[in-house]
Amino acid sequence: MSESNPQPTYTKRKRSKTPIVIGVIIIVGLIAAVAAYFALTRPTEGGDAKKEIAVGLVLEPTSLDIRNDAGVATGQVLIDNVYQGLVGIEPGSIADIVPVLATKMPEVSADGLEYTFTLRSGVTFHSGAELTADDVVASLSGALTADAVGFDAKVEQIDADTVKVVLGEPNSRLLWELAGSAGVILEGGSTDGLQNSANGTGPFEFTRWKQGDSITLDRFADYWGEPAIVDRATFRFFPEGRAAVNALKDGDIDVHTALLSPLRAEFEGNANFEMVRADSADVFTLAYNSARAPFDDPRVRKALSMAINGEALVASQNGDAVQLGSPITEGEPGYVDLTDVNAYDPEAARALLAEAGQSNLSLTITSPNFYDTAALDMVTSQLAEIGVSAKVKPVEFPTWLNDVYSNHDFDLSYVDHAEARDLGNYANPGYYFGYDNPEVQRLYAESIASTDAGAEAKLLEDAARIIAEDAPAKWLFNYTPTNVISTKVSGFPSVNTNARVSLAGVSID
Amino acid sequence: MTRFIIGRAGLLALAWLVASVLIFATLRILPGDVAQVIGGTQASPAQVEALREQLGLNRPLFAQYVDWIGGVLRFDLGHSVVTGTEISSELAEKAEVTIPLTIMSLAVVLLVALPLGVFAAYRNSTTLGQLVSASSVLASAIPVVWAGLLGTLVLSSWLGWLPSQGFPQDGWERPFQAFRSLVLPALTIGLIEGAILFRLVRSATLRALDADHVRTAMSQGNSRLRALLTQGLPGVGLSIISMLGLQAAALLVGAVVVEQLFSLPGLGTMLVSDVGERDLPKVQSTLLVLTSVILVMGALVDVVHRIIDPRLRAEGEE
Repeated sequence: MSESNPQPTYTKRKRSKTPIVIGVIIIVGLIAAVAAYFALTRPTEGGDAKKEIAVGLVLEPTSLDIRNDAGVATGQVLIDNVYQGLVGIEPGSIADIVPVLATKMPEVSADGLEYTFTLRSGVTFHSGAELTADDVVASLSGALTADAVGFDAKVEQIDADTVKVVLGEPNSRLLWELAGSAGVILEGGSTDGLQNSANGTGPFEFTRWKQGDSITLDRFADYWGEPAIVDRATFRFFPEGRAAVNALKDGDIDVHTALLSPLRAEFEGNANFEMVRADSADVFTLAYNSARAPFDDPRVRKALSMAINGEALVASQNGDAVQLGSPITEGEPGYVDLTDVNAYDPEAARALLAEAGQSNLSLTITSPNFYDTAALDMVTSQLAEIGVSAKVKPVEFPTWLNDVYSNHDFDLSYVDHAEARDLGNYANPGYYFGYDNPEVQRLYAESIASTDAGAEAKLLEDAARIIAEDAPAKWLFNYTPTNVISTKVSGFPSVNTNARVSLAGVSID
Repeated sequence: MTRFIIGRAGLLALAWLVASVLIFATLRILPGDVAQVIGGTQASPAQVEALREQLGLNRPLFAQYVDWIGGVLRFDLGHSVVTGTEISSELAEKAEVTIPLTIMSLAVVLLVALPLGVFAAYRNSTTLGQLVSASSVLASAIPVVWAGLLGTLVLSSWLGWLPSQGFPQDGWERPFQAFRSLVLPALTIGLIEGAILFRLVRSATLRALDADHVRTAMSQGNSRLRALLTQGLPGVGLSIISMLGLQAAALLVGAVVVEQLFSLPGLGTMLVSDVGERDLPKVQSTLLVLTSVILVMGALVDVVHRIIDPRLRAEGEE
């Protein structure tokens, strides 16, 4: 563009109004659309007299297949509410067994091999079919196998309302298994289509699973027992603790189970909610790989256990924990207070490590990444005090299952053992603990074979004492989660809610 | 033009195929498998092995890939390994949350970035213009999680205007509720992504103000604003269209975080939990669908670009 160019000729452009007009139309349209939207779709409120309760849970089931899904989340929602067994767990307890679909506790033969159950009559499945002895035989025959529960059982029909379970050897775990997911009675014993649906005999029938969000259950009109009080129960899932707190405050859920302990402060002094601690069988376990050096030396394991201050750990959980010295928690048979065994003593721990020639230990703790890290941080700093450097390796749960659980490739593992009555893991040298003590295995086997509850508990207790001395793991604490319950709700279970949340007797104003 | 479109389509198909291989292969690097997750801590190694067999996880990877991609080409995305549900129907259900969320956040992005970006450039020398620019730098640096918490605190806890989490059970059957529950999440990602686009709009507008044809328009007696609106902005629009394609991808990534934060049952939440469960068939199908959307959008942007911009069209038709 040089200055010497001839002047261009042009005509003045006309002012076009088009852009302005289009802009105005768009804006007016948008406002009208939004206004219409808000006006036409205002929610109707007040007309609904249905009693509904919404319960927040942390974990969503991966699948609804009660038999084959390993996580506790499936049972937490479905057992007691939708699915029932011949026997169940007494409300308010962790391990006491009561009859459910059986009219009374079974008659057990003198040799402890035969359990005879009388079936309740007038029980219907949610599909409408009547419960028959055939359903029981089919369900239990498929479930009571060595692969699934550790022993085989034959299940026979005696007459239309009597069923007999026959064992090859006496087994004190039978009733416990029958009260859990292995014992649920399915129509025709079938599990077809039950990955994303459910059909049981409980007080609630399955209505809908909106994956990633909620499971809805409706009161079952033809329930054989005392009908549920609420018309509808919705379980909503909150992997993000903050969202659960917001949902409670918004009134979107009435109860939240297992509130993260750092969030307790949100509800301190809030008159609309009550915080209730629930006993549970959850044991946060720091397992040592006993099959691998240097943990194959009991002195090393004991030293590590002695380095850890249980009281301080419990304090780190804002009170949502109980100190524990035993692999068995207080509500289970065989519990004995063993907190004095290998109790906190950093001096002795250092001496033991020196004696074992392991003064400069450097370890890795493999842990699934969804746990609160307060306890682990404390463990590593306590280990550092006796000269052990521990590094935490957080992994996804499938990775933990692969590396630690299947391949036994780890030094230390930090994980919550949520199952009750799982002492057998310490009597199984093939388990990831790698702990192999023939005496423990003998005592455990005897406890299983015992037909007397008192004798069984005594044997378990003896085994637990030896295990505690041997220190294949440190039982950091028994987790007693806090449930936040709206004051509108009454009758919400206060025990074992990490494993099952029975809503049958729950009401809401 | 036709040749151009055919070429683009070919490129698109190639990119799609490469993407599918990459998705399939990278997911296989993840340790742990779904059989293990289903079996959990109760199953014996023999049970897990049987489950692997039953789920077809023991088959050669190539065969698994061919099966999968063959299905996808017949519009069959397969079934979830864990729950057995049809992947396509679940995708559709989750999309009911994620797509409106993305559109709403895109609207927020545009509402924030366009007027403010043009304004900041137009008034570049004034204090207000500088202030707007500075706050955009600040906004684009805010982590989504923090912005979400802040938004919840102000709009939900203090003012009580909006729900802070969740999506109605019955979805869009109660549209008002559904819409309301997406406002806060959309604002959260929209404002942050908007701040990023803002800077692009501003610099593009600044360049436009400086461009020869705009100055020519001004020299012809148009005001600075008029010259900008009529001559400058159409060019700016072009670069924004291409940016929007990328932005939509960023919004999808933002959705993963924001859905978790606000407990929304969308694609992001679904992907996170599926990866956690190693439901790889579902994860790979979902990712492939999302990738396809982004690829197609990219190609469309290219084509639109070409239609709008006379310079590109001239080149292509020589």
